[in-house]
Amino acid sequence: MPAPLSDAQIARLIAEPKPGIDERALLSGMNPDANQHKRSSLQVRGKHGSEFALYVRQNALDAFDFSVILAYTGGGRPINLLRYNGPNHPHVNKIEGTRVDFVPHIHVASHRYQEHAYDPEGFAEETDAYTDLGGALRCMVMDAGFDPPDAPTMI
Amino acid sequence: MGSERLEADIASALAREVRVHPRRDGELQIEVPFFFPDGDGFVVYVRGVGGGQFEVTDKAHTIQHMSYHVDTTKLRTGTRGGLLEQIRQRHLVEDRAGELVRTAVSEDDIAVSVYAFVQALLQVSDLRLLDREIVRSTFREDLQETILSRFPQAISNYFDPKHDPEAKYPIDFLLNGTSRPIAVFGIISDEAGLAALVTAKQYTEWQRPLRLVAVENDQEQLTRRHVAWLSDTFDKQFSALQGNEAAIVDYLEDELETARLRDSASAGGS
Repeated sequence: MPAPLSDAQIARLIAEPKPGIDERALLSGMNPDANQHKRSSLQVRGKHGSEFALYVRQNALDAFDFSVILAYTGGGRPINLLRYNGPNHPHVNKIEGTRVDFVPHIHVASHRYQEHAYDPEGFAEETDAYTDLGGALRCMVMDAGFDPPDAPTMI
Repeated sequence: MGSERLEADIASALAREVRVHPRRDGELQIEVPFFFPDGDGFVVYVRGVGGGQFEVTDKAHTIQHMSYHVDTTKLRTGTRGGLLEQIRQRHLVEDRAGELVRTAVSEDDIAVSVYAFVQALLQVSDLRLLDREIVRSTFREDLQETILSRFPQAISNYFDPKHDPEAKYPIDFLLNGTSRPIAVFGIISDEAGLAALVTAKQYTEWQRPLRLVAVENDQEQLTRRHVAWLSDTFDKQFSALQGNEAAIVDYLEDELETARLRDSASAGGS
């Protein structure tokens, strides 16, 4: 297994400046797969050379079952750094014992969850910053160092 | 503590964790105390299908959630596909294009069916572990699928019929058709790395030029010395298969195209 990322490394990767993306193209390019999920993805190289992937998922049976994921792919096995989820399921922070009910929530990778053999992004907090998939993508772009929409875009 | 009290306590603890939420169209979402490894709860719905019958469904959430961490296009093939089929049969669950459904139960059987269904979801979710802990058994088939799905002409377990009729120096996958064919080796261990190095050396002695590509299961599991040896000898190394499938295919396509152009130029110039 790759060595766990420290919280400082995670924070640096999230904050690393990234080129702007065309959110509309990413959303309109979502293709349904064999499992009734619409999905789209984009490879992104940060301005310090780190490699990332941006994944967008939405369940065709439930529009509130969605996810926008920023994964770090430069260290071998991809690690989800941020995941913006919809409100279709509850979440429990296994280490802290706190819970998030059926509301949008943001998963953030942390060193402590990797150390306890949970998924790196096992910690999540509820948010009212978005209510739908487009809003979640908008928030990801603003929170994860992507150039703003008026800058030159990748797709 | 007496067994009766313990039984009551456990039943009470479980009951506290179960909630039923009415949703649109008369569906009921059942909140259960079972979770994915990232702490997200399983999604379970009960819906009527007429005639006093009900079905329990995950509304296609489980496999979507798994897709956050693994490539779910591999769920229905090879080792994973066999295990998924067994889970489905054991728990009477249908796979309706990714929606897992336990069908046609009467109202009296809903509670029991929900628990059986959740057990099925736990087992399906555990198929993720194949990507972490039992990778050795699936690495070979995953590499084969990655290579052969894009390059059906690739030869598996190639050996040189002239120099090596006993196939002592096999190449996992050979992409032939150019003056310098591409040899792809799957490296799951130091031992496999050494075997690939010996084979590469042998082909050099036979004066059979190859472009050498190593795809490692997990470079972190190899000793530094073996990685260095591979690096010295091979033209290209991929430190892991998982997550690099597209990059591997793109690289091979580029190399094939470049080799063809180079061969054409040489033929034209001669």
